[in-house]
Amino acid sequence: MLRRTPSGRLAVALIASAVVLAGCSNDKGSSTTSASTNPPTSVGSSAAAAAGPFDNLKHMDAPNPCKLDPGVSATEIKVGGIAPETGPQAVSFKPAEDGVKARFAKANSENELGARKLTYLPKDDASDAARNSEVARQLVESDNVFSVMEISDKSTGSAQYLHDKGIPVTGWHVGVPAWGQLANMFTFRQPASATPQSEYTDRTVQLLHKIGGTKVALVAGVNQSSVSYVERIEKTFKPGTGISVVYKSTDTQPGSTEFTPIVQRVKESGADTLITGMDFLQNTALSDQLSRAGVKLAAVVFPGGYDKRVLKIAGIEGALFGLEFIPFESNPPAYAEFDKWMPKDAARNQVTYIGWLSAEMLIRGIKEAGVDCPTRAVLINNLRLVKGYTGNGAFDPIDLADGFGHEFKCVYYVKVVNAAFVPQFGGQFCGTPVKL
Amino acid sequence: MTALLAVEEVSVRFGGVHALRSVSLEVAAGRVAGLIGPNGAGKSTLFDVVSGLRAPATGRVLMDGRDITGSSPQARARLGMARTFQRLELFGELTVRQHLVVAHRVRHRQARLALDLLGLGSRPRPGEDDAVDGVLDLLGLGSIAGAPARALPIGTGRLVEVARAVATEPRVILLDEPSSGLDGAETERLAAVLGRLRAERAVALLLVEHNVDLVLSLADRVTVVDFGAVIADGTPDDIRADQAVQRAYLGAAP
Amino acid sequence: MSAYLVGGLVLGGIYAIATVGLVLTYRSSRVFNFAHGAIAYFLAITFHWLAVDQGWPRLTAGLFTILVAGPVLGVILWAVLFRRLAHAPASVRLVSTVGLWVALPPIARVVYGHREIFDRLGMGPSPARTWKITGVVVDSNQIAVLVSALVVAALLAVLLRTTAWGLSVRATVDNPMMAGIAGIDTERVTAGAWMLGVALAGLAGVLLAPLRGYQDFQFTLLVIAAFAAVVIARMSSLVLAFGGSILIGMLQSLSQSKQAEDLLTHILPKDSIILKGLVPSIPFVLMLVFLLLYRGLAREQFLVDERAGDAVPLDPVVGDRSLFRRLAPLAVLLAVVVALPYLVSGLWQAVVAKGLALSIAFLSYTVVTGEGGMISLCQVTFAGIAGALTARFATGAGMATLPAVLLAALIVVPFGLLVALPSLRLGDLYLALATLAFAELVENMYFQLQSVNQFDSGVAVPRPRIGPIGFSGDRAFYYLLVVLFAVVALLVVNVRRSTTGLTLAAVRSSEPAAATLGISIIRAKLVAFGLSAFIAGLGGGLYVTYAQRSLPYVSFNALIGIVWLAVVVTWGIRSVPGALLAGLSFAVIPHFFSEHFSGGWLELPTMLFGLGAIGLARRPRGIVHDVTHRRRQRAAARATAAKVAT
Repeated sequence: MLRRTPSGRLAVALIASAVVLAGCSNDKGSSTTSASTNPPTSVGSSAAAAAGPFDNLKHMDAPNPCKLDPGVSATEIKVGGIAPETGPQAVSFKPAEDGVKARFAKANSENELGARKLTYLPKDDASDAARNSEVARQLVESDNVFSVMEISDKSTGSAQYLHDKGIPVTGWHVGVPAWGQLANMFTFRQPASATPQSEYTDRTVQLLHKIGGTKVALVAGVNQSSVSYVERIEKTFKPGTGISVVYKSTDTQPGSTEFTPIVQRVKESGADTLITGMDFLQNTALSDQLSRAGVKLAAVVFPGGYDKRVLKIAGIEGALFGLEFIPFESNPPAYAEFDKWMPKDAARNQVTYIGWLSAEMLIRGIKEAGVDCPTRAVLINNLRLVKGYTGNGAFDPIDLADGFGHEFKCVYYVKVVNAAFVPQFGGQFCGTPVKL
Repeated sequence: MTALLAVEEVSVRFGGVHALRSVSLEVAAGRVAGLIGPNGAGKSTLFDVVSGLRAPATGRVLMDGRDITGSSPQARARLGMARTFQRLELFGELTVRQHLVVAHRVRHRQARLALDLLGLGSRPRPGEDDAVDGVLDLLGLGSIAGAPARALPIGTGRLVEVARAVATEPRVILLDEPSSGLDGAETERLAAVLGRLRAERAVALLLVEHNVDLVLSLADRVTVVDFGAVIADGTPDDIRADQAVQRAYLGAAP
Repeated sequence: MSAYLVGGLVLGGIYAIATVGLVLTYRSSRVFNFAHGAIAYFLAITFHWLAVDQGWPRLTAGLFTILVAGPVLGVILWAVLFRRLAHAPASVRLVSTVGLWVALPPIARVVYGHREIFDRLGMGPSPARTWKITGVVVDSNQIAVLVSALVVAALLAVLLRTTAWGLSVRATVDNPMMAGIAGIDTERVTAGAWMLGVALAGLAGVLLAPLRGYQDFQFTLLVIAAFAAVVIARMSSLVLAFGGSILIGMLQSLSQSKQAEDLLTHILPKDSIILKGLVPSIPFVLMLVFLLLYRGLAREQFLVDERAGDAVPLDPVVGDRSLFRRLAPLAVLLAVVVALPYLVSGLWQAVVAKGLALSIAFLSYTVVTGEGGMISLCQVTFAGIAGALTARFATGAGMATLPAVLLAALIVVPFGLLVALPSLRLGDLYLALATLAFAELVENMYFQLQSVNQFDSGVAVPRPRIGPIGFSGDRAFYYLLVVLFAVVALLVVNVRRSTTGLTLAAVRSSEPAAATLGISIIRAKLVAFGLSAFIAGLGGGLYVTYAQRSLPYVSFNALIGIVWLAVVVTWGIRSVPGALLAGLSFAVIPHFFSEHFSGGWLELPTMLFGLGAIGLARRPRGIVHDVTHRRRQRAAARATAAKVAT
């Protein structure tokens, strides 16, 4: 029967040829490897918690004679970008691309990298880990970029792959742990300890003590980066801190601003502090609805959303925004350059600035690797060794090796007072690392 | 002697309309029973009730004296009931032969998924080929056994429906207007087939027909319905002479 | 408590507006508009374009959208698409509206020129004004919904009861044939019903946008929930549609109150996924409950309604064709498939491997729809469950990958049977709705479990090893998939030619005849459904093996399943080559576009898949069949006619 029917015959032929070809293609040992060498130190996915994974790192020279990596030519350095450009998360990430473009424009115009100009290839991962992974492969294998800028909440999709290919990655951590675990990833504030079960910072507790909040309502979206953000904070409210969580919600669908039930529950819980982890449209909508419902809060803390448009919202007065950089209102030098190079109609806010700063970091890395012959391995090595890094005047100095794998202790806070952002605490506000 | 198939006081209502009103009839084993009546008299509805596609409002259907009113159509098929349809209900994409094959196989309960998956389920059972060929010969369909049913003209399609019913090796076949749409030659062929069925295979037939002559020539017993109720019941000669029938069915006596 | 009541009324109000439009159009034209949500999205984007890009005053833009653009769109859709569908088989109607569902959002984005809209502009003032009514704060957007729902209810009641037009609508809705005989111009009435129905979709869309934003999935999700209200309304009663909608909204809102949460935490363990996934799941639970309650009634209604036309018209199993003619195109396809990894480079090898894994999953449609004649919207869910289980067995339990895939696929089968068993007697449309409800429930409850979702990064899955041969290279894995595809295809073909296939063909063509022949319709369909669940599970397990990660919430959610159906239908839902091409194109075409295009062009693949499914109305058998069989069929028909005439 099998052989008598035409489809049966074809199927047998299909199987036979496939088996033969599979035999020819299978991996005997190592298969495809990238052209570039692996970075000199690799912390790997199960990072060592001990201090100083980079203790033995020494400055590397550019290879002589010069052997360029893919993406670098005599006149060009191709840089790939991954961000959600569509989907509900796009509002929180896509504008960053404008910041990157502005910083690249400055670098190209002022010949910061010698004869080479930076080319930017942004791609959409639609906030989807599988897409993130595919797009990263596309950038590396089809577009042959030199490095990648990840400004996405799903960077886990490609983190291991980019690490294994030795691709330098700069960008915004958004709470994804990989940034503090893989040595090829560079961000100016580490999101989480490599061992979050045993080490964290008590900054939020100290903040609440300072502003007088004791009963906290935590509201997060249903997506994991939002949930893990608030749950990490929740962990710091240990007995003895005097702070308790009286309401917690982690159910809000992405994009939804229907908070009627949540507003009611926050009201009933008697909370005096609200900490949220959703996108800025949602956060501000929630605080707005709370104030309209007559809920009086001592403190409202937002992880993001630092944007002048927010000042127009009725209930925003008194809200605190946590920033990873010196607020614009304090006139840091980096902001002046940023303002100069951003197009007139582009927004100057947290998201675009982080795009700028991510690009800034990459450019610093290329300079550290040697503008004449920038290579991936040397970049990853030398950039890690930078001490006193300020993002060209955007934040207090940090050591890129030191902070790796430890949750960042310090944050800059601004408060909305009379419909304007006012920097608080005279500089960065720091917590202390606490071990369990 | 209990009749092979009996309908007892069956009534069916559609909303306010009485499609069938206390209809009773019997089919004896190996005999032909005829059912005639004007259009809209409820004949097809009765068939739906007998074959199990519709539940009656009142009344019973009995087979071998056992009440099968609540039985599914599939259960009735297992008891030996088969039917054809007034509007052809062929399996459009199957060939004529495949109609008979599937009928035969269902009768002999051959459907095992595991074997089917392995490609062994398309092998004919012993005796299947002979049985199927026999039915094809009986109906004279041998030459078009490989044709897809949807390509057939209506006359041939009717014969295929009959063949399909025969292939289930039934004890009684319900034929719903089998000569509808057939020309003279085809009708004769059909009559010959039905005669052979009764003679060679001892199959009982319940024949609903518009073609009164056909029924009167074939049937042992004839029931006449009008407006859902039985108005006459007897041998063909009785019916020919019956005044009520002539009035209702044939108009005023000529 | 009153805050929850208000919230429930608002949510219920939007559901009601959507549901009422759906019921109207269904009853007057027998087309269940699966694209209702996509239409709402299209009109919402239209409103936004008028208000923001064209600078119209917002109220004017809103009224224009609802009162002009909506009816015009309704009449166009009816004239071009829905009118034809009225006489098409039930499954063709279903699939065409699914195609519209897939195609319309990308069309909207391309036509109006924005890939994403970040604001939440509505007709009302922005930011919204608020009032305090009996201690509850309501804003202008919520008031707009409540007022609109009341107006719609009142308007419909008045229109349908007191005007002549209303009378003809009710007559047509009740019994189109009789209405036609009575002299009612049913075409006009139906066109009018579509104008009204689409206008109501537009109203729902414009009211929803300020509450939830302009993401397309918000609109389609809302309307899927409204399907539940349509089921409660037994597809016909406008009053029940309203009531059912309010009920669903209320339940969703009240279940978020402290009292409800306290009650549930008594019964369920803390942090139970049922708690977390409860609110979005309420409509689907209700849908399934009412489907079961209405079983008796629905059956009568449906077998009458849906009898028109056969199941999906399909190519004949045998025919008078020369062997060479039949083999030639298949041989070409075979050659291409085998040679493919050598024709393309690195990343593309991964893409075609992905395509092949999907092709295997798509073979499940060949069985459930092609052989079984049923439209299932949860094949993707079976794939997702099996994918998650594969990951669990392979990574969590240390099982070898391929046996894990097989085991996972086997476990999925009883779930498939569980879904099918109560729903099979209900007819095509209800079965489709039940499978959609199942897909959404699994997505909300199972796919979001922490153990399955793992912080949105999923669970790793290792590539298989067979003895000394490893398959972590994409090309080797591709050939493994070719072998597996051929094996599954062989199973499908064997079933088709076997007794099971014959009985399924019989059931597809005529259920009454099959039943009186002694064929158990339920059993036959269950076999098809169970087998298709197994195949879908295989496809899912192999897909996650290809991706080396299982993330079903993203890869196997209900909305993706809708696109799956559209793609398979386009290529041919009954042919094995159709499934193969569908899988390959699903992977290859979007990748190609994303490599070479950007911006609005990236919407094109989805748009094409949707349009392909819509084209089904005119081309019921898919591209593969049309290309290879048309000529042969004509020849076969001529030959048969000649034979019969002799």
